[in-house]
Amino acid sequence: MPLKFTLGQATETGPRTRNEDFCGAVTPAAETLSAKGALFAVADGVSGGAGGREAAELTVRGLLSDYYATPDTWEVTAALDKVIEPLNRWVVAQGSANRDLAGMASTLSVLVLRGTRYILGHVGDTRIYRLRGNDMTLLTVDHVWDRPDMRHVLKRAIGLDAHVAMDYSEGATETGDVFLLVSDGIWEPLGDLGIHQTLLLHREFPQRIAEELVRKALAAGGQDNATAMVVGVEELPGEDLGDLLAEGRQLRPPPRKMAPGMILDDFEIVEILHESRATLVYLARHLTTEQQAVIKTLQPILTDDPVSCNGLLQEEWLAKRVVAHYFPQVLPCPARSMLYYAMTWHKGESLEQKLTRGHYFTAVETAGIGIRLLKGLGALHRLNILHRDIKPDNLHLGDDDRLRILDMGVAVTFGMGHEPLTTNAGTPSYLAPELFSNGTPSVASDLYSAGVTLYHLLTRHYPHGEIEPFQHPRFGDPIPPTRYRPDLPGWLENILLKACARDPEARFETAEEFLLALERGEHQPVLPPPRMPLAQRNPLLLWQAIAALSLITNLLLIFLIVVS
Amino acid sequence: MDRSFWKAGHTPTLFSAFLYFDLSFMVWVLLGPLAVQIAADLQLTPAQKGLMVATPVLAGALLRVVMGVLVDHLQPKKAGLVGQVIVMAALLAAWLFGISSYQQALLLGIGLGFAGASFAVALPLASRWYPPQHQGAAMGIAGAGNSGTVFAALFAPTLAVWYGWNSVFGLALIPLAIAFVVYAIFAKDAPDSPPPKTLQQYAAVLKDKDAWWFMFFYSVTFGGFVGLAQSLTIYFNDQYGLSAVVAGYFTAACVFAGSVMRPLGGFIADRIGGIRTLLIMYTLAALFIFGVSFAPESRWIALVVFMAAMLSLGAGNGAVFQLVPQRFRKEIGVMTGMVGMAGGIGGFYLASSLGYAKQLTGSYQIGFMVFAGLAILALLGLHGVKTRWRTTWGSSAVTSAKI
Repeated sequence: MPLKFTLGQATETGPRTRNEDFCGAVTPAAETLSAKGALFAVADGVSGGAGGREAAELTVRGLLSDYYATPDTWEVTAALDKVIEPLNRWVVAQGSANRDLAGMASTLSVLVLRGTRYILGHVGDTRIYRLRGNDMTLLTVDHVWDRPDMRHVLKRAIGLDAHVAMDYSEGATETGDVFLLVSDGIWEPLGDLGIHQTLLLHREFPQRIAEELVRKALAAGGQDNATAMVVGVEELPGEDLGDLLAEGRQLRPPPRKMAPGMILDDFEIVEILHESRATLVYLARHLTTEQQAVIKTLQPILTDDPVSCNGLLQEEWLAKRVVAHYFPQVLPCPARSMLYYAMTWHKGESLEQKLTRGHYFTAVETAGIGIRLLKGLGALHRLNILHRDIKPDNLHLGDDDRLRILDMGVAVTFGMGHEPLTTNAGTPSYLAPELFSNGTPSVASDLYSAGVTLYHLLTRHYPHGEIEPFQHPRFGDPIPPTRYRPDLPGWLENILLKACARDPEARFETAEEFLLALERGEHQPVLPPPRMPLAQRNPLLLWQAIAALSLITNLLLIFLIVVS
Repeated sequence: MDRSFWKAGHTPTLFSAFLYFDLSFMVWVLLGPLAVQIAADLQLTPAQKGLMVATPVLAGALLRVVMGVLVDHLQPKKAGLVGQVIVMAALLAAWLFGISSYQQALLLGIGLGFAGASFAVALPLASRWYPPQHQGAAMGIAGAGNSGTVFAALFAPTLAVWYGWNSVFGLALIPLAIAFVVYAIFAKDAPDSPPPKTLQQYAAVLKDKDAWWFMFFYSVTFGGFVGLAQSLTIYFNDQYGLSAVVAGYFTAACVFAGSVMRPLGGFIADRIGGIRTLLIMYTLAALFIFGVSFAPESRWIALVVFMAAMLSLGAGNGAVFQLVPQRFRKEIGVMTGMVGMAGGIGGFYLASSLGYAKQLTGSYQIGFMVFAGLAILALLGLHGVKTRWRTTWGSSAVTSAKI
């Protein structure tokens, strides 16, 4: 079931000549609602001359349309910030270029309802209230000077400065919550008490609340434009994203393992490409278009496992959003009757297969692979997606000489507001050290895996030794790759050591930084990692060792005294 | 261990489970240290001796399943009470009526098998009280009851010399009765228990090839451990002419080495990896057992080599149980039962095969050699599956399942 709410809004010019308030909302349906949420915004334009209205309207309209153009995988606050920043610059630019519009600015209060959470963005002196039970809470802080004569002078607003600092906050929504977005034309004359009374009186009818607030504010002698927007939450969606992804249908994986020649909806199975404990991957041919495709589905034994089924749907959802030639692309399969998804097929082999065949990776070739890998990884990270299982087995070198990153099976995005299903998935030898001590996956841990992958291609060893499942190793400094491959140039060794460092702080911060280091190569080499003395790395161990040593020495001396 | 552990579960239950488990394991292997004296009185052949000490092991392995079912249907506490009553009844009968034939000794062995099956009761009883993060510690404390095997080897032969071996059964009743009372008063079933395991669950787990591998691996490590614990007294007595009492001390040293090493093996596996640990331990165990099969001249050398073998087998036990709960996160209850049973069967095989080897060839060598061969087979099997296990098992998260 989707999120359900009712919206009420009202605005009046009041005694002024122009209404410089502007409010707007987007209430999408179905998948967009669950991915991006519903957006409500109120803005109050200010200006020396004209232009206040323009600033407010421009900001809200721009926000409403551009927010929904950001990738679904971005976190709400990141998406809002990315959209509001250029809007602000635009308003500033208009204000300075156009004499009529000089000094135009606008406040902005945004509410996003997504899933079971609400997210607020706020700048200026419009306000957002929340009524929960019988308590009303003011959720925003007015950005005005705290001096009696300057109560109306904004400290922060859209269009005031080249850089705008928004306040963001978020919390859990509850059924029955009423959110109220108001301009100062309402909260000033009515005060919190008046607003609270109106909310309680008409809590079931948002439209009536909005109208009453505006009417009362003007009746109480309000001198400003009065705008109110009221959102009543009626029903929260289930926590389960899978319900929505399945488009309301209960898709099940094929009940049996498919043999070549068998038909699956529009596809004919050609061969089994890969089989693991949970998944089955087939090469298939489309019956009418002859297009070859890779079909990924679950093992028949997992038919009744909702977690795995939802996992595959989430994987498809993510893979669909990654449009870049570093990844196989998801093909639409409108006629599917079972749980699977189709991707483009590319001839070639994985780097692991190359390793097994005994392929010798030269330093130059590996650096080239690294550059392409990091471009792909960078694209993924810009979408706020973590791959979590980068390893030679999941890197595919096509016959078209393109590198593709496969298997989004354990990829996560924190933008969806969901905790990842499996907390610590991946392949142990490629997992970053911090993940063994209950760290959370991050960009840094993905880059670590990329570093280990390159290291392994070159040396066929691992920087911290091969790690087994369920092992909790102690990590030291990575072993220099030149121990296994003395022919490696120093700049490449330094890059690998930096990428595989134990401490996430010591690694590359972003895929782009790593990429740049590889591209520049020896022209601007990365410095070798500093040797950290034991006293700094583990002072306790050092002192314990010294104490133990001294104890032994003393015991020996006592022994000598006794025997002599 | 932090203070929150003691607040988390039910400490009286934990300790009565430990006591119950410890003493049960003590009587489970009681026949081994006494075998020298019993065999002398009943005039048993080496093969009969071997089978007599092997019977409780086999019975324990099979009864473990029965006790598992009882635990599911009666709750652990009642199941434990039933088990203890049966064991005490068997000992009481042996003490009062005496054991005058080989068949009666075997019958007692089956009764003692219920003591060996206490594993299936004590661990769930204790562990169900504890939240996931404290499960490891709780199982460790309850599982330390393995040490009971040492007491049997240490005291039984001496008591038999003082009072006659038949009285040992009566004497064993004293600590058992105390443990029974403590258990009856202090042990309490955890408020929530997992649903009973069905036959389908067992069948489903057995479809997984890895389950069979684990059963095989454990049948070598635990089988070696318990098989040697049962047979060493006979061996030291037979091969080196040690008196029953001294042979008991020698055995106790070996068993002690093995049971101390078990938690250490788990720790090592955690650090360097379970598969790697098992590879090392199988190699060492095969080497030592193969070496000792040539019956070194000096009894002291034999003792040291046996202790070394027991150390590696004990570490192997720990390593297997570092892997099993994580690999079979959901099916852990079923898997512990199956793997434990396989271990018992391995022990039965080793103990009885040593007896038969002696009877048929006049020396124990072939029995030890075949067992060393089994360890090498496990080594090869592990080599075969290690790449697959290392690459496809994935995550290193901790288990939260309950037994």
